[in-house]
Amino acid sequence: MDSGISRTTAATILNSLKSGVVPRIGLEYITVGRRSEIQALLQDVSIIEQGGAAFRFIEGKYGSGKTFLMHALRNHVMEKNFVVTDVELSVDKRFVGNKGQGLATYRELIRNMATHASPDNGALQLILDKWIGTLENEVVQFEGLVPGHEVFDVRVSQKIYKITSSMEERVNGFDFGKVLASYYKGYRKGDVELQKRALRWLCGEYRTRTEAKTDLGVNLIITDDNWYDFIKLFADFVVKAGYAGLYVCMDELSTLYEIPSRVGREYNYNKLLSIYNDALQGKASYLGIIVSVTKEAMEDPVRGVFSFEPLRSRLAASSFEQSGAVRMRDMASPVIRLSVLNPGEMYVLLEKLAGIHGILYAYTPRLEHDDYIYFLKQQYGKNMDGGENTARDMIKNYITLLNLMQQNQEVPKEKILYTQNET
Amino acid sequence: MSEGRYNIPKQYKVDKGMPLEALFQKIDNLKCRRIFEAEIESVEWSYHLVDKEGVKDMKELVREQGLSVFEVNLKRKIDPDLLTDVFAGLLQRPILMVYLCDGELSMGTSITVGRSSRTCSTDFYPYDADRLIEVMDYDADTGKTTQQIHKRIYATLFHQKRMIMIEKAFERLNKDSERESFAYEFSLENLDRIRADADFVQSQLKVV
Repeated sequence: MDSGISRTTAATILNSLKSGVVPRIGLEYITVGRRSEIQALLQDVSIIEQGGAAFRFIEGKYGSGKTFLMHALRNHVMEKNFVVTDVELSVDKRFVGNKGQGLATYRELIRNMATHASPDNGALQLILDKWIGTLENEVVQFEGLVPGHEVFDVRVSQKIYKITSSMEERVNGFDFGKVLASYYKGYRKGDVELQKRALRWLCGEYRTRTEAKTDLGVNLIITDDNWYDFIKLFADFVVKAGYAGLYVCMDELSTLYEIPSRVGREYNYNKLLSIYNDALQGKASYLGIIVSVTKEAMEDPVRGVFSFEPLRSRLAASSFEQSGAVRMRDMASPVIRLSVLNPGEMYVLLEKLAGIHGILYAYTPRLEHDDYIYFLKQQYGKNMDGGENTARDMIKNYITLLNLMQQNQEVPKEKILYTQNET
Repeated sequence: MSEGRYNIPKQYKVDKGMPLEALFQKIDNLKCRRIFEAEIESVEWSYHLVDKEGVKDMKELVREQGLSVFEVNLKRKIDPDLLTDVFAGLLQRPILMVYLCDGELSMGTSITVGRSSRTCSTDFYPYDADRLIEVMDYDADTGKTTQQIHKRIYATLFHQKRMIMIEKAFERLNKDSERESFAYEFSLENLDRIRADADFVQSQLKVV
């Protein structure tokens, strides 16, 4: 067991798993059986760091660990100085919709921006302030000027405008740069209202162009149609602000599968296609997008992603992957197909959780090789009897077992283990 | 056994418990007798199929030649072939035996062919409506003699015996492969490989 884990992290891991949710921290300690998937995703990360873009679908059954994998990667890239953001797609948050659902997705993404220094979302203002601070430091360090010097503000402003004007060549980059400049202007003059207005605009909260023109002097607002352009602009901008790139996690793509109207689904799949194409054709830079989807929502030919032929032809598994006596997966494919953890992997996961439980409660768990096997056989037995006992359910049961064993150390473990599994 | 299921002409309900002590005394092999005494809870003569119609007197009925259906409740499962063979010797008449144990059912019959007799029994199988062997068939058995009905039942059981054997063998095959798969999954070699992979992933995910 890794001794580097703190009790706080141990508590978070166990409490989250006991409640059936993926922990926000410490995932590296409990990641089992995902070597090739992680390697493939880390390969993407290194491409993004070098100015590229990546787009991956994580496909798997409910409870197969899609969200877990996304969060593990999110935490990793955040530690690697990326700006990360995530959104759980839903009825109100899609790629496009006639009631502003696309814009709602964008707003959520901006709201959920997080960095290493601000891991719990809401990092946009911090990013902007860090950007300005970095430029100010540069002026101090390399030009020998100190704040308050008459040329200091001029030099910082020059740097700011150099960056914002470099973004003008991008689609919608002119207005984006102009708003960033307004934010700096507010910062420099101590005009909090101006800063707030700039933030509101960047968050996609301006409803009319007139309002934006009056407040910030820009002719454009972020809408359902253009929001993805601004995600690309943000990816570019965060690098200029000193980060490694932008990593976007989108959970529950299955929501699109549930849109009742065919036209509505196709609009959304079309938007998904353009995002996918952008990432893989090199139109985006410093941007990683990872989307989780169930197999049904992906491959259903009537309503799923594969019902949209341009996506199906890009994402369907190659015949080489599907055939052959030994099942081989192409990890460079845009779709990473997750299989559920096999019994051996579950065993190692249980072992790790027992170790973490021991760290949290400062004791040595009494479980041995045969106990793990007994527990797992019972759990798989329940599954074979027709129950849909996913890894999530097994882990919840297991943590309950660990809790009972720790709380009743005078009781023989067999008594608890056997009773536990008979229910 | 419901009356409706066996509702064919010339079939009479007997509902007569058999005197086990007297019956088992006739078993020559001592070990076999001990098994029967220990494991059989009750034997009931349930029905009797005869060619004669309108039999009203029970004494007259049990004297009539025909096919007798017995229901045997077992405490523990005994090989149905052994049961049928021994009961055929004890009862000395054409029989259809129904063995019940732990919610499972087995059937056996003994038929006389010339001077010798042949027995056939199915293995035990879960007793539910979907898998019930239809030994009594109103349509097929109308107008047939008990001997013809008996032959048909023999053929049915012979067929079912094979089906149940295949099904059980298949179940065993699945259990064996499942056992093999678990054995591999929990082997120290496999677990060590998974642990090493997990450690590698942990080192990759951790940013120093």
